[in-house]
Amino acid sequence: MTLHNTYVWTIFAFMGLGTFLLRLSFIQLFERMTLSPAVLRVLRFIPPAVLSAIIVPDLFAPVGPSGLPDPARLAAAAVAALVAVQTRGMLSTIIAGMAALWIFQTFLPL
Amino acid sequence: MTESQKAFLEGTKSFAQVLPAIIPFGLIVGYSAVNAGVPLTGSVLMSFVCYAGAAQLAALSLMAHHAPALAVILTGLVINARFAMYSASLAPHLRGLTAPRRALYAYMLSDQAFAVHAARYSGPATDDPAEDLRRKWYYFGAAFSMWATYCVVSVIGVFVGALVPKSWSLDFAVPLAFMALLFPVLRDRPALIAAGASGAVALAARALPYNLGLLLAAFCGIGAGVLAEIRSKR
Repeated sequence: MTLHNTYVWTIFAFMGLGTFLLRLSFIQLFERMTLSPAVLRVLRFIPPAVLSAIIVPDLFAPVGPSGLPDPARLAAAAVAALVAVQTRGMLSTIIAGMAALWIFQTFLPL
Repeated sequence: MTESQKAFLEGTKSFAQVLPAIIPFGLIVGYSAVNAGVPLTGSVLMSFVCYAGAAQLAALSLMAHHAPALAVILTGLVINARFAMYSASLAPHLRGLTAPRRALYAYMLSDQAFAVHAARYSGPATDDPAEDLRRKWYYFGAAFSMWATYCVVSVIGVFVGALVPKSWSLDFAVPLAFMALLFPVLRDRPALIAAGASGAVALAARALPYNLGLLLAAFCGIGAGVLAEIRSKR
């Protein structure tokens, strides 16, 4: 199931170039300009909206013939969410979530 | 030691505070590339070419499902649109660089480099040339150490990730890493509404072809956040 090199490098090249241009945009073009507050207001919602759109279907997608989400993953995600809110640390969130998943996978009757 | 070198080292030191978050993230990116089926050369070089953390993970999860290249690229660029915001905010501080240096500083712009710089110099740019130079080196110190750390760690992830047994469910670390990025940005009600609306749409639209659900959900979430903010200000 190795991906084709043409597919992989088309994506990497355009993503790399596009990302570079996004980073360079205002540094290069508008030496004295700053963004209007209206544009900034839209941009600040990009991280919460995009991150949530990635996480939610991943966690709640049905698995197997039951058509239900994986209860061990949901419970572990809830533990990780609590830790993320409390500590705001990536390392602590990942460790707590993984440990919770292993415990729930071992002990939840499935 | 020159003033420039001192400022560079100071930037490196400030970056060190966020180091513990970078290591697991970089490892997961390297591991995810191999796991998605990216050939070895591509897996090793991806972080150098794209250098885009969250967007790399999102692209890799789409590539694992053989999404069309255009959908993957667009998703990555939507996630990276925030760099234009950082670019605008940094622009006044980076004025007067030579063209190659400007390109280098832009390429190495990251959430962490921006955050470390903004935490110290959030005000307007300085008029004093010596202080201006110091600030530029401070930014470069933070940006360079972030870039070097992330790229090296993600290459390690390519080789080490493959040794981890499937039963450890290491793939679950990816949504966990995204959760660690999500919760700190849920600072107010409109941001919460943006995340809630986007998540709901993403779940409802997950059967859409070409993984268009993610883009649709992101746009709905951004719209909901903007509306909520306008309403709250009335």
